[in-house]
This record gives sequence, structure tokens and C-alpha cells, in this order.
Amino acid sequence: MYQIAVTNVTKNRHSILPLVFAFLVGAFELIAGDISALKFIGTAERTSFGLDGKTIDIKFVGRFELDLDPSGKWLMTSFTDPAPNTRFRIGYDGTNTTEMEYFSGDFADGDNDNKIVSLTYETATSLASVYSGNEFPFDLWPTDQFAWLIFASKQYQSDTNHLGRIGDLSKRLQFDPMGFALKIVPTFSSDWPPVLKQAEFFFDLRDYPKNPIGLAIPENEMDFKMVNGLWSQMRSKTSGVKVGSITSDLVKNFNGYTLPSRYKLEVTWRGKCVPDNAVGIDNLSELIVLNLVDVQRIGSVVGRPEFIGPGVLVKDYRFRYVNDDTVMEYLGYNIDDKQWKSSEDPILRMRAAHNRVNSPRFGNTRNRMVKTIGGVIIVLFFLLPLFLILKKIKSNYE
Amino acid sequence: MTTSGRGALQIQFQSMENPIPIQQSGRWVKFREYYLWVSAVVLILAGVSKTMGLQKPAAFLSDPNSVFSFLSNKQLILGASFVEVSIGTLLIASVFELASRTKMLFWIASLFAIYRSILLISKEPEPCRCFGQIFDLFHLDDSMVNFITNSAFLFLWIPSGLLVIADFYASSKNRVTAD
Repeated sequence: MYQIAVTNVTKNRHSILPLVFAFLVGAFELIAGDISALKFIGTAERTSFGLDGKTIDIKFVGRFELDLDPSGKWLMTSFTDPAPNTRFRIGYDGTNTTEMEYFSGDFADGDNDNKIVSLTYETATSLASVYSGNEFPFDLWPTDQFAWLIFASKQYQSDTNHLGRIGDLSKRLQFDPMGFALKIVPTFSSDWPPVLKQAEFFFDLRDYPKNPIGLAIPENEMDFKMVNGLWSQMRSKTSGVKVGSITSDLVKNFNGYTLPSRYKLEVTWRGKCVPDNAVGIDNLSELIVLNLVDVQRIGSVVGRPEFIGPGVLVKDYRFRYVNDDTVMEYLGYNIDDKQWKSSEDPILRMRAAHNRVNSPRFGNTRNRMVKTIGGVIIVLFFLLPLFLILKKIKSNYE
Repeated sequence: MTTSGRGALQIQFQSMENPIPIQQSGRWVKFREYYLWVSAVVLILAGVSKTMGLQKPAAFLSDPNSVFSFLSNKQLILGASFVEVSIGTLLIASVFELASRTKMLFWIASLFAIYRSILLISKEPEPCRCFGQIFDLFHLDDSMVNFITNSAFLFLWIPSGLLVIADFYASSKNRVTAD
């Protein structure tokens, strides 16, 4: 805007209108507040209830820091308690979303939560997930995901590819299908920072996959059964029903920014993967109360977690490939030189093409054959009475 | 029809001229009538509740059916409801003789059996929606719904199958006697 105003001044020396305009724009920005990058610091407490809506099943407190840049870049660090020897850091750098999970100890044994040791970044083992574009923080704890939803999801939700959806099935497949079945109707604050002040959640299965292929990658028979079961249960649920809400209150001034300091997420059992006819379906299933503790001005946001420790094992979801016969959820590789790889990297592309060929879908070919033969038998059996009647008419006629 | 003596003989003569498939006592015929009546009610109930279930907007309705991919689940359910209600009505209407009605029942139950077998073999644990959403009214869990629908299916299939076999055996015996 300044650029336009100055150009106009040089072209039209006799008019002071452009100067007045430039002054007004500057004054407006001063009044409206400084749009510098911000760091949000807060805690969130999650309580999960039983079907009666009262019995507490899970309760824990999460702590987070989230940096947000006016350009849309963000970086979030989770200090959530349930896994004391694991830390998550995830960010969007304008091109990719990168998630880093730092472990102390060997993550390959899959039992890290039981080894409570102090996490130092120097000795950490890291696991990274890379997605193209701005993406939902899939692996974070629900408390951290709620923080992301409040402070960093404006750009994500206004993206036409997402249209108010939480999580994108085309980017990442999950065993828990719930996140992808909810449509959010949000109200963001109109000025900087774009904070989610209130929202309603509805069950919406319009874009939900029509078969389990888009839902998860079953690698064995048990997974296959579980995924199919979840999928069919989800598909039978009623769309358009309200299942949860976000509210905010206790408005405070944080370094010149007037924002709500308390946010509440409430989800009923109807919003979970349980049948619609379950008793207590409208009871409260989940409550998260987020308290914003501080908002600090920061320089800029890189939007990509740093490399720490000896090496990183990467799950690169930019190479995800799914069709009727093949499923490759991600391309796995190691990074030892602390350099992120481009999705155009020729070695990675070659490896992806090779892995794709060797990733058949579990159980698919056999199922298709059974269904085709079975379908033909049903059609023939359905027409059997007609054949018999025609035969009888023919024999009577003769 | 009588159950013994000359009456029984008359039945045998009748069956030779215009074969009645099985030599039936009055109590047996009554039982069979009751069985067909109850089966008809089950079929009509299943057909009507399926159609009522279509009113609720559920995403799976617009999905292609997993066996007949050229049909949506909604179309298949509508078709199945139509066939169920039609057969149920024919069973009650007594337009056809007992043996033919039993065959009709066995035919439709066998269609269900083949369809269920395909789902079972292809390991697709779709919950059976034979009765639409009617069980939602009673807040029954999935295992109970499966138990009821499986019981109803076996009630339609096994006795009707046995009766058809018995009819076939009796009519072939009658034919031999007539020859």
C-alpha cells in the first residue's frame, strides 16, 4: 500500500491525497496493533469421560509453545506430560509441514513411555514426518492439537482443499478415523492474531472415503478386520449432527493484544467412533480446557524443526501412493547429513517408484475375486424362478 | 383333509393325480401355515424397517455396494426391501399352495445366505442391516443386533430348506408310486 501511495505522489505532484491515504493506512495499523510474529505459551488439561459422561477415564495436563508468523508459518513445541521422555516439535515453513519426535533411548522397541529418563536433545533419537503443504499435527497429543486449532489453524481451515475439515485423509492415513469425519464451523478474530474464538463441530461424511482403502493401511489380518470394522461403523453414522463445540472467555490483554485467555473444547460421545444407538451417546466424552498464559513478540518463524542428535529416520508422506492394488503410505529413509530432502530428489523418487511396486494391498485381490464370483451366483440364483417358470410354460405349451 | 383312515388314503389318491408334495396331517399343515405366516411377518418387518432406515442421512447409503459395485447401498436396500415385502405378501396371501410358498421362502433365504457368505469369505465385517435402524429404538448393542438378525435368518432358511427337501423327497416317492 505504501508503495502505491509513493508512486502516486511522484506522478501527481499537486495532489496531497495519496499522502493523506498513506498516513491513514499507517495510523490504522498503529491503532489495530502491530502484526509481528508471536509466541503463544499456555497449558491445556484434557479429561476423557466414560459413556455416563461422569466417570473420568483419562486426565492429563499438556504444556505448549506455538510461534506464529503473519506469513502463515508456524512452529509448535509440545511439553506434554504423558510421555516424559518424548518431545514433539512441528512446523509449517510455507511449503511443507515437518514433524519431529525426539526420543531419549531406542524408539525401535516401541516402549518408550515406560522408560522415564531425562530427555536431552544431544542424545535424542529423532523421527520425522514430512507432508506437503500446511497440515494438521497428526501425532501430537489432543491438548497440543487443540492449541494448534486455536492459534494456528486459520490458514489451514480457510484453504479450499480443507474447507473447515480437521485433518486431510489424502495426506495421512490413520487408524482412528474420527478426526477426518468432523466438519468445523469456526469464528476467528478478524484482526491479528487470528485466534479461534468459538466453533461448532458437525459429523460430516460427505468426503469420507467410500471404502477402507483411504482410511488406513492394514498390514495384517487383525489390522484389516479392525480397520474394516471402524470404517463400517463410521459410515453408518448420521451426518449433519452437532457433536461438539469450542467456546472462549476471560478476555485479557497480553502485551497489547486483547485475547480470550480460556478456551474450552467439549465433544459428546456422538462425535466418537461408537454406534449412534449406544446408551449415553449425547453425554460428554471429552473436555479440554486451554489456558493462555503469555503472548510474546518474536522476530520471525522458521517453521521447520531443527536437527538434533545423531540422525533422523524420516517418514515422507509426500510420496504416498494408493490405488486398488497398491498401498504405500510413506517413503521411509534416513537423513545423516542434517539436510532436508526435496520431493524432487532423484534418488528418493527412484526409491519411491521401486517401493511402490513392492507394496501390494492386503487382502484385496482375493476379496475382489470372491465378490465377483459371489455376485454372479446371486444374480443366477435370483433369476432361477424365472427360468423355472419359463421352462414350465414351454413344457405346457409343447 | 383328515388325518387317518380313509381320509389319508384320499390324500394319497389326490397326490397321484394332482401331486401334493408331502403327505400331510392337519396338524402338520397348520404348523406349516403358522411357520409361513411368522416368516412373512419377519420378511415384511425387515423390508419396511429397511425402507424406513433410508430416511436417515448416512454416508454409506450413497456408497457403491461392496458386492454389486454398480449399485449403491441405497438402491440395493430398496430392491431387497421390495423383494422381501413382495414375498412376504405372497406368503400370507395364500395364492399359491403351501409347497410353492415354502420354495419361495427358501429361495429368498438362500439369496440372503449367499450374500452373507460372500461378506464372510471376503472378511468384510459389515454389521448386518437386515432390519434397518429398527434396533436403534431399543439401544441394542451390535452383538445383540447380530444375534437377532442371525437367528431370524436361520429361522427363515433352515426350516424352509428342510421342508423343500421333504417336499422333493415326497413328490419323487409319489412319482415312483404313480409309475
